[in-house]
Amino acid sequence: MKKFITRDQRDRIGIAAALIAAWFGATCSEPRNLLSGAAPPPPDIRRACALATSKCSHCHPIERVVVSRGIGERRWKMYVEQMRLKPSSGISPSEAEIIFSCLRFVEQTCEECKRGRS
Amino acid sequence: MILQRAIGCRAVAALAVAALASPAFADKVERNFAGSIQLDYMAVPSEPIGRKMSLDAATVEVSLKVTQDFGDQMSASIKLCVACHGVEVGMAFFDLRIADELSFRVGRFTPQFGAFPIRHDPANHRTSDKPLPYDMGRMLRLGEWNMSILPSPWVDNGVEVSGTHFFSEGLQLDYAAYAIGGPRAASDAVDFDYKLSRSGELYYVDNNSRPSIGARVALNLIRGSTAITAGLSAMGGTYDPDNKQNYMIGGADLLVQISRVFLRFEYLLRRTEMALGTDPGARFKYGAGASGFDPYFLKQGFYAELELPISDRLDGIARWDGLRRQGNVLRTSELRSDSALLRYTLGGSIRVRGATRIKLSGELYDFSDFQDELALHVAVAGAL
Repeated sequence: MKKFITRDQRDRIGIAAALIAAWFGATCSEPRNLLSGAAPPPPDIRRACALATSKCSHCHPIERVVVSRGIGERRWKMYVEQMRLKPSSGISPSEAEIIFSCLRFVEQTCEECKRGRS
Repeated sequence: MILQRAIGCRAVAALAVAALASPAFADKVERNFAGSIQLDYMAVPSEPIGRKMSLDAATVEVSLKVTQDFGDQMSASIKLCVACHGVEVGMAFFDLRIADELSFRVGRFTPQFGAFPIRHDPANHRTSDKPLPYDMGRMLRLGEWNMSILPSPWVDNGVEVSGTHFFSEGLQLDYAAYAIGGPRAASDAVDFDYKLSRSGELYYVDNNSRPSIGARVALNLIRGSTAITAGLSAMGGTYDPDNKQNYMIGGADLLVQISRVFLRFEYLLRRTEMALGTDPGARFKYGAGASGFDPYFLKQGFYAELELPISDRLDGIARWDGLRRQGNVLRTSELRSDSALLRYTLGGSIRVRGATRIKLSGELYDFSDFQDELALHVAVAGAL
């Protein structure tokens, strides 16, 4: 049976399609951060969220936190403690409190932060 | 019978995850659920049939994890992974925390070795595949090289003692020590047989009545959004059923984080004893030296990686990694007594929506014993 496209052509088409999809995806919506959708933060909360972004991205992309917004303060307390105890987390007990203050503010003021919407 | 038991164990594990994640259970207790997925397509344009030297084309990695806290001091975690090898339990353990400086982990887990394994989940690193010292089946010529030095995630049964201590806000010390079943191989082996580490046919138990032991220590210097982590790791034991052939793995790692820019270095080496057999002259490619046949080979690996944000959505990554194997080889091996591989990777990770990313990378393989090859990766990865 005759092949209409070769393997090389198929690879190139697949990679080109992925690049186009990536470009569309990257430009189709606004970037989101920890405070997206939340009330205007006071300076200490803004600093707390900057610290959270720096510390969390030590081990994983910050968007893993952003998409989880809306799970509730108790779960965030548990998450922050688990992450603090990860090896080389760089999160001291006092910094864990600061990070949690950011997440608590988001939980309290972000109306759209329901699970699956962030 | 064994197949039924394996299916039964997986069904129980799946039911446990489903039960822990069910809404009814959720009303009574607190738990965390996390999951990730990556679908990667690897093309090897320098070869007409890439499968002859790699697991190319599409591969999927899915992980589902549930962690349950039982008060402040105890928690349990279970993680199911679906990848090239089918369904596996990536973790199933209990943590008991006496203090920040003293925790116990018992069950099936990834022991602390090196810096990369904590980021092994594809949602947590920017490239589609892993650095060569930790590669688990995605490198080219994986058969000839018998993969990497310590494939990640290395999942094993055992116990781990660990802890962390902050001497100040800017100085943190971590340690861990563990005893695990360790790598496996059949009798008369010349290297690890990774399939035996995940084979229910031989049961998920130690194969030689002796645990492997290991330890890690890491120092973290933190100042504002800058962090420097330096770590040392070691693991050793025997890997054959007769408890004769030993191995020793050492590692050193350094991470420099400046805001969202990451510079990572890691070096691993493994010294492995081979079974010479009754007639090593017929078995090995190279003859005896002045002091007879050397039963050891040395495998070294490294990577240096720069990850930097290019825009709010796009992260760029440049990686240089390699492997080197020194020592005798079987007559059937295509490697020599001193073989090396260098790989050069350029890539990007584009945040699309939520925690979904598209990863693109190109890799140039420079083999000492084979022609150079090119590999291209396109992947979509997501997490929740």
